[in-house]
Amino acid sequence: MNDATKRTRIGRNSNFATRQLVYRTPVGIEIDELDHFEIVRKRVFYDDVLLVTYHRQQSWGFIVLSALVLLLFGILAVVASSVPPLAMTLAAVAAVALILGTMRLLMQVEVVSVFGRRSKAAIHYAYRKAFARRMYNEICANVAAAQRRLASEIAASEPPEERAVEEMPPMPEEGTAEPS
Amino acid sequence: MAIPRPAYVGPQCPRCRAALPEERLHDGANVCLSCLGDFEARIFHPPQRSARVLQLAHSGPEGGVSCANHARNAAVAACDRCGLLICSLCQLDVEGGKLCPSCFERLSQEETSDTTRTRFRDYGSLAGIWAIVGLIFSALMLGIPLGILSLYYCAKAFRHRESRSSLGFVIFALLLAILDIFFSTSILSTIFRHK
Repeated sequence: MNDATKRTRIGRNSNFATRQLVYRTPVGIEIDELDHFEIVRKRVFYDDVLLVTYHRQQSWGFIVLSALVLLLFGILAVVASSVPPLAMTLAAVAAVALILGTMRLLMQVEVVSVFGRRSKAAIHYAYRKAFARRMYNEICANVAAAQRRLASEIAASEPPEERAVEEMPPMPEEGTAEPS
Repeated sequence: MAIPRPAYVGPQCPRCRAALPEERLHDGANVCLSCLGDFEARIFHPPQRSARVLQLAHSGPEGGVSCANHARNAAVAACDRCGLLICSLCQLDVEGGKLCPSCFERLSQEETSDTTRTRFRDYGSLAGIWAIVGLIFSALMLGIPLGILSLYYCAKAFRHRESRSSLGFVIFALLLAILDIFFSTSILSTIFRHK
């Protein structure tokens, strides 16, 4: 593996329809979309990035799922109240769903989005708020550095502009000097 | 089957995915006019790479060889794969080498180059699934063949590191596969002992 293919996982973007793992490489962001037993890889190169955004949003899917689990296991716990060990186990599952759902409702999800010319990447952080902010800053810094480097490469590869040579007035020939 | 999505056309609102015109964006806090959602943004203006194409007419008194694809352009390199002479328009720098467009196309279709490859088999997930199925049916002696199959996929996942979803999951699948084989073997040996 060379330097360009070295990558570190920086987050994920998962919902009911998509499962994406997001990695950082020295040249950009790599998105591995898991499609059954196949991984489809996309890249957003730092050279190509137009916009990086950061926002906080509510993850309604997770909250609805937690509410459904809470409802289902809560009802089952009530129904099985005549068998205390079973009822307690079911109630514990319902309590976990309640805690997770409430936490997600209060904390929300931090989303870092990277928009390139041809592709985009989104990274969701449910719990690691400081890490999300750090990633946003690091991605911005990497993009700025890569684009600065590219601009200097382009400038260096362009031919130097021909400097306008300041024309000197013709030297007066000897003997033809005008009398002062 | 993957769900078809609309093609990406450029920067969008991260909340509602409405197109964001560049003139309405600025560094710092922004508000989307479609959904009125707020977000923090940092705008970049990537420099445009422009290939300077040397034309045959301007290639100097020595003259040049013309590009195989563009007769008027002077060739600046030869393709590392097929040796075709190419101009700076055709030249594609891939993994430290220079390729012509048709060789690049072929490499990306064959998926032999890591840079051009975009689809990988997820051996880690395959190993995990077969290990779990093997564990469920280990009482029916299926743990042995499915465990071996899972071990095979684990080995593939370790070998093809680029196509591995998670190292932790592969190790988990490996342990599960060993457990499958152990369960099925112990059940089988118990049956033979009783006979």
